[in-house]
Amino acid sequence: MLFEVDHILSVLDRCCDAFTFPMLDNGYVYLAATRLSLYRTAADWAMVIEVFGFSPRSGLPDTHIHTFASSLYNRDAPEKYVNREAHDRYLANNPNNDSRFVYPIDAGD
Amino acid sequence: MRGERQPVPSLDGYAQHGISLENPPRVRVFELCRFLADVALNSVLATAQERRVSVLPGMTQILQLEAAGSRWTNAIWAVWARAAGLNLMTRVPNCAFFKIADGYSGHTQVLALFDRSGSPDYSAPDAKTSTIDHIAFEIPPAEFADERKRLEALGLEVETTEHAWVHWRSLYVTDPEGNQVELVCYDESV
Repeated sequence: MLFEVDHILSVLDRCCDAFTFPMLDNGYVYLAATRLSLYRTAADWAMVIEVFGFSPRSGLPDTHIHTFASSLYNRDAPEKYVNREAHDRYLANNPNNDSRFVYPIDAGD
Repeated sequence: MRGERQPVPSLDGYAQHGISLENPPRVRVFELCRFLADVALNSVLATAQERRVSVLPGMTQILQLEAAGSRWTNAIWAVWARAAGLNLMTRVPNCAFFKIADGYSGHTQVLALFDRSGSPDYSAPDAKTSTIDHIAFEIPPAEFADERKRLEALGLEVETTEHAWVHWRSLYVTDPEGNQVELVCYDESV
């Protein structure tokens, strides 16, 4: 059963150990705002954490969308990876987490 | 802008709040981020579509929690960054380090502010019982009047005092916790 406390916590712990869980006091990102959203069906769960901030290294403020879920949707196609092996390895190492960036402030805004 | 996100406010809006995109750019960009998070949170976070990009279709949202930093801290920060004109060295959710001046052997002289308002035993400092009365920064006497106007334009209540015994002329503003910031100049006419 995917919708059990132990399973959810084990996923989050594993992501924390792998440094894929967002660290809000990350010294490289000046944190401005966050939002956490939870989703569920009878059998599945998902947690989305948005982190809006500014990293001087990236140059533009961005919103990092972290998703942790029993099952993930719309994962990047193999073509977005340098090769098929990299794609397969990423999915194997990150079965319950994925992340995307959006840029609410365009350059020149 | 992407998707259904509302446009961020215009630059004129930032200027009304005393924010400009002047140097140092890193601090200004971060200040802009904090400002936008306060006044237009839905413009800077993901749209509903972006938020659900990796979520299975058909899932029901059951909770949403938002945190745009602490308005308490922002208010304190505004006084020190904008009124005292200190440059922000770094900031994390509950503390801010401002540069006062270059130091020695690589250690910059800093003012560090920590937001402890979330602590169960927290109580704001009381100027009536605190040993520390105020922190003063020197300004050129020729800029005294302009500084007063600038502080008032930031919406701060400004007090003025003359200290005849040392020929100082002072401007005082107070942060929301009661900490007093003095901008002072030497003026022989005092």
